[in-house]
Amino acid sequence: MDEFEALKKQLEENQAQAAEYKDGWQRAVADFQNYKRRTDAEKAETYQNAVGSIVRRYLPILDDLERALAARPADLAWADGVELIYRKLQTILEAEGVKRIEAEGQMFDPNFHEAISQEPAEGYESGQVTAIVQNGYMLGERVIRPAMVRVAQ
Amino acid sequence: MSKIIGIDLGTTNSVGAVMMGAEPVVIPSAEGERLVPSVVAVNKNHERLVGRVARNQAIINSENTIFSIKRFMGRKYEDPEVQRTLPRIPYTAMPAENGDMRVMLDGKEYSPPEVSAMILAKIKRDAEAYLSETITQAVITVPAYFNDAQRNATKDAGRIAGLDVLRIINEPTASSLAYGLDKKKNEIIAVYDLGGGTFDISILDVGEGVFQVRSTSGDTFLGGDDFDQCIIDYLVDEFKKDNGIDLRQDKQSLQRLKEAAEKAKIELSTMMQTEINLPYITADASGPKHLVMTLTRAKMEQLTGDLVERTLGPVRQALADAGLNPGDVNEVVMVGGMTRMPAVQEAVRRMFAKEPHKGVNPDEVVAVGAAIQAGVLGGEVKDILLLDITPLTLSIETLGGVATPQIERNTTIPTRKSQIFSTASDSQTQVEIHVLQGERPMAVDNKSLGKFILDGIPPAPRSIPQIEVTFDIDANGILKVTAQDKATNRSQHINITASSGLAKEEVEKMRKEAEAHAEEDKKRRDLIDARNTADASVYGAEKVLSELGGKVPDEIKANVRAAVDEVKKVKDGEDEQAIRKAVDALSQTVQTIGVDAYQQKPGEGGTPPNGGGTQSESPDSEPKQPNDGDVVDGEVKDA
Repeated sequence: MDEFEALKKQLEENQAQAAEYKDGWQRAVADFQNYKRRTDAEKAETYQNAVGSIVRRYLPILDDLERALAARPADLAWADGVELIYRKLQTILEAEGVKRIEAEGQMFDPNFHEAISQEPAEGYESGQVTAIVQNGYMLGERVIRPAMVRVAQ
Repeated sequence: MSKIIGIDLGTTNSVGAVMMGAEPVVIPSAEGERLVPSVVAVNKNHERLVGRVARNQAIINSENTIFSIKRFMGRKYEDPEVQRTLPRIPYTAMPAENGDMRVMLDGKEYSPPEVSAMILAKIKRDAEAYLSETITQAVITVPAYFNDAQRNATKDAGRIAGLDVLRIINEPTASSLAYGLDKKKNEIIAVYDLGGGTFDISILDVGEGVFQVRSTSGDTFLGGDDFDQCIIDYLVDEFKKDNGIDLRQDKQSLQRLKEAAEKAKIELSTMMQTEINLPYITADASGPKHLVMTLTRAKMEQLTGDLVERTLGPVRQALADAGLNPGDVNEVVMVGGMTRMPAVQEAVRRMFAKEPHKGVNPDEVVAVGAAIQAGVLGGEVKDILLLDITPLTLSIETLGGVATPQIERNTTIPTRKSQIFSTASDSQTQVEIHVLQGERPMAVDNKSLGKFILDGIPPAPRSIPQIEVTFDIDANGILKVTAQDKATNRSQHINITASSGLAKEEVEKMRKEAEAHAEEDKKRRDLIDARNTADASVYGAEKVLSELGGKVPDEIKANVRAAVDEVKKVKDGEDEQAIRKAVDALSQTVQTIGVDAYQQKPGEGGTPPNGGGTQSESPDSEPKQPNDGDVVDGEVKDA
């Protein structure tokens, strides 16, 4: 192959490579822009997720206080203080935007409820929540913990 | 061309991941979780539920909630694995005419691939939502022991879900890829996979980037759930001993116990003991009862020791089948959440006399490997695009022997950074650029990579010249440091190759040293900063005095000179607080010059300088501090 042909071939190869690099570069720039856009959108969501995950860790305290108050002996003034503590914790969580899932009497919805048992129950429709075993909570649109419920058969 | 995703289609949980640039990223589900339960259900309204939502209603809809479908993939009804599974499932499974498996969902028959497809479809949907693009192709992982029928069933599942399955890869291979073991030459890899419900051990060999499965073994009904159960049983038995109540009878307590047991198990991976605290767990005639117990790691290891031992049998079997001894294994990879448990890691370590690979989240490592394979198939992870990072911070030495960082460690290269510096003394006509590598704040504690001088700087007061210093690292890791005088455009540079830096072990040592000395280094740095500030304020004060000369009353002059002397006295000492105090005092006295200067001009007093007067300029009554947000961050000291 004479010199001219060789150079022509080399040029074609280089042009192909340049086109490949340009394409790769454009993709990298595009990826970067998409990543940036997505990250910016995620920032607000990330904060909410962080709050949700921290709140979720404190929910067992709320649960245990509810259990304590449910077993409260009559005529014990000291227990009033515990109730105040419970209310305070609720208020703090509400201020963060945490809402209790009101499952009483609702139709079972796995998006908000987690069923723990199904039993026949007088006066309830089939598929209706008969009791809340553990409260569930939402933060904004997201369920941080589903309500644990018993369902009527 | 859209992205190809990698999917770990697991028995209990599934995970999706994708390459973003050169990094694999786990795709969060619509519910915001990284693991999607492999559960499919149809509710009374004939609506299909997949994942967490399906799991929530499993108990009340057990006939129409399908889980562990992977156990049926590609198997005939008569298969021993199927027969072993049947007693454990509340939903209906039966053979088709040709002996294939079918499950009943909402009155209709489905093949296992059709059910798996529902899970894959959710992962596809969630990936599309997350990436904002259509996904049509995937790489899906399967156990190494899956036969052709099972692999085809998985491919079918993908197809039904609308995914073109470019490749089916083995789970142990994917895990090995996640740790970069495809770069090894002719080595034996053992992958120990202890997940939620199954245990798999695989022996692979790797050469030229190709993995071959030598042998596999395992226990398809051994996993994290069994470990939880040991703890639950212990708690229930102890409680019964103390209180005479059997908590197993109460579904509610059992649920709390289950969560507490799993939580305790996880905590004991990092702590030596944990407290299980369940108030009001139940009640009897005498009142409410609480469960409070301390569980030590030692006790838990005792309770679960049999289970760990049970995993070693198949390991020995797999080694024997491959004709190998434990010592022949070069690399050990751990997969599955349970491998976080110290006792499991210890057993594996003892078996192979090697440190297992850790670092990738064991719940996600298979999906990560699938994503890497997907990236390779998609042509994204070309060799030329695998970028390096600088392992250590690169700095230049500035006034006071301080290392001023230019490029932080772990910055992806190629990269470039420019910064303007200036002179430290009046009439300084040359600057020395000293390039350093390391994490310590003081130049002397870092590694010197090179020095050069830029001269010919026109004489000027300190901090006036503008010298632009540029650090430029190319993709090969070659560093070029350039210094250019913006006034004359004169420039000098040096090239530093990667090899003149530090080796990998030295990098680690440096990092550890930086951490150890962090506090004293900070004190040192603060002292130098204070001294630099002192220098600048003395310079500024003396300049003001010489400029205003006779206009300053003798009394004020004396005060300022005394304050300057005070600063000079403490400046070279070690007491940072004393220096700062003296500098503040000097600053106060210098301000009196300005106050006095204004009071000497009667008739123009009363209006504050920025109160809308006709003056457009205000005298510079304070010494110019270099740290006042100017362009000049540090001063390059003279050679």
